[in-house]
Amino acid sequence: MHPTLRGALWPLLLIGTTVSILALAILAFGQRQNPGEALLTLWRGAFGSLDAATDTASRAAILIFYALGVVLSFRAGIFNIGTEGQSRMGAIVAAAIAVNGPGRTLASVPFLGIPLVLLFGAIVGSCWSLIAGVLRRWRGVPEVIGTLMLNFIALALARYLLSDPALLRESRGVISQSDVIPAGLQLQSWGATEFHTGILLVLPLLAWANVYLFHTPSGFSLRATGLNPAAAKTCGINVAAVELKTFAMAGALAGFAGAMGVLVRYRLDKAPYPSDDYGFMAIAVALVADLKPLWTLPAALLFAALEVGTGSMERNAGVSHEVVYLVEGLIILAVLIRHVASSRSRASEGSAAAKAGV
Amino acid sequence: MDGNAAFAATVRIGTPLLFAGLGEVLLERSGLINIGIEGVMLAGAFSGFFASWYCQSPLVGALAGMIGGALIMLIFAALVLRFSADQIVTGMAVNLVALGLTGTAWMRLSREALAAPTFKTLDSELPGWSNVPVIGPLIFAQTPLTWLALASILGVWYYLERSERGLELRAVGENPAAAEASGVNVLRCRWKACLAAGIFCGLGGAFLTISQTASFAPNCTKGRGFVALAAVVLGRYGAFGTAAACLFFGAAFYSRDALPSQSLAPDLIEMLPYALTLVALCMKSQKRTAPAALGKPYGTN
Repeated sequence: MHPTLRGALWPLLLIGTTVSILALAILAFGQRQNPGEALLTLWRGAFGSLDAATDTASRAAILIFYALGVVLSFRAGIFNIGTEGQSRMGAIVAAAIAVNGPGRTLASVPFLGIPLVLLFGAIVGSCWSLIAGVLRRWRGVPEVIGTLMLNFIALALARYLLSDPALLRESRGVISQSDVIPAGLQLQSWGATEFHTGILLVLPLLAWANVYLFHTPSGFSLRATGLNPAAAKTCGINVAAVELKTFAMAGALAGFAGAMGVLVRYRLDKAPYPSDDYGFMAIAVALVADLKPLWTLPAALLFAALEVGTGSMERNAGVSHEVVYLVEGLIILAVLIRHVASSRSRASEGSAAAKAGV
Repeated sequence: MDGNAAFAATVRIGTPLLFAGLGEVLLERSGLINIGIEGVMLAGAFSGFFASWYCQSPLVGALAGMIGGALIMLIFAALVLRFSADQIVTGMAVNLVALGLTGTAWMRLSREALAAPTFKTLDSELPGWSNVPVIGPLIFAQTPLTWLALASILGVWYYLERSERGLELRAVGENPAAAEASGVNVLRCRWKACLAAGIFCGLGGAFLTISQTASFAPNCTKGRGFVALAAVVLGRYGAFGTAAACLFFGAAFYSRDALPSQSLAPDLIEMLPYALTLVALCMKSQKRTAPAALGKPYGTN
């Protein structure tokens, strides 16, 4: 098949797969078995009203921040699965600054208050990520284990800070959440929708990631390191620096998004905004996007729509919201098999010997 | 709080971790890393619970837990071994599939399952002996599955360190090409390791739903698979080390739940195992302890 044609078919194939997995799941597990109707509920739940559509967009925005971090990491050959923890650290710092003394000062600064809080979130997120990077570089600790442990530590730290009014728990002490942040630091949504200014940041971010990865020397070094670290080193690329920089960038993106979640929700919630599984979902988004920054936009929209839509499908059609994990998992498996199939077809086009070996 | 009860609780909480940890040790020593054992445990917990409930027999449930775990693990094995797919990503997909499948099926089946009488759980018949020091809490206060887990420590150690098959498995994990050249079928060895790990992890999950309490809830493994993963690294990829790490994590989780709340915040204790794992990993370079071929795909033929 012609490569461009194959490239165009993939998104269609993906949506087809998603819809058919969902339909099958509804048939198998639904309580009122009409897949068409249930799928329609899903669509309406995700895009049916301005409120729903902007909620989808707001979640997709967070997912894109996360997924771009994953794209950069995976491109550099780093399995950074610590997005959730890095984002949580960003959120903690944003809340700690915003509800305390510095927050009142920052809130009075026009225009700069919100960016500064977000910047602090990004810095702390990247530091948290760098711990795993340093451990990998100098102690040989696999980054999968390192980032996983740091995830659990960050999530437990947030719970601890929210357990005591002397720390970050609200001064009433009733619910496990922080006080409301000053109005000057709130990222308020537009009118009655869920749309906020932070969502607009996604577009320049996507453009930056694409240019950085494919059109700058630094992005080239990153990709070269991921493809073959030994060869990259021989060509004079400082592999250690590239790896640490990638850890820092991914952590900064996650920390920024975590801080943004606090400014959008006006407080640090017990559960991360939008949900504690977005860190893993971002990996699915990045893989579906084929590790291409621009493709994370449609991929994130698809997954955010599934996430929002399955909520209303659960209420109306009796199909558990957890079906979204099944769809995500199967899509990742499909992507993996597709990778193998395409690398094999390349090999078989290349030489008859390789084909004989398959 | 007397020491015996605390020790017994530690062993009980550590049991699912032991099963999963030992399964992952076998897998990692053969050169594979599956971060999806959380999902494998969940599949075991689900199939174990429903088979027990359907047949009103926890023994059938334990068997079903092993089969359920092995089946989910076969997805991992097929992708990683047959298609040389990336192990980390495949493991993650396995987690999601198991979480989605069990959660969705549970919503459909829960009403019937909760309405029916529950089954008799796997309990021990020897409560009178549980006050004997050391052996009492370690063995007599436990259920048969815990006995199996404790026996498995010795079994896995013997298999890995003393048996010929274990030597082959370790060779496959250290240098698959050399193992292949000396006549070991690398892929078959890894398939078997996957199967064994699936059975162990499935049983670990089933322990949560058919031993002592008969209940299932979506995501009821609550990250225990990830903890077992840490235990393997902390235990330096050996059977005894991993078992010790699992029991240590069991003690940490026990003290999180049982200590009076004013002494130390439970959330800080929960952080402890993970932080300690990181610190322990920093102490000594990992490059010499991990199997040399860990996580690397082997051949596409």
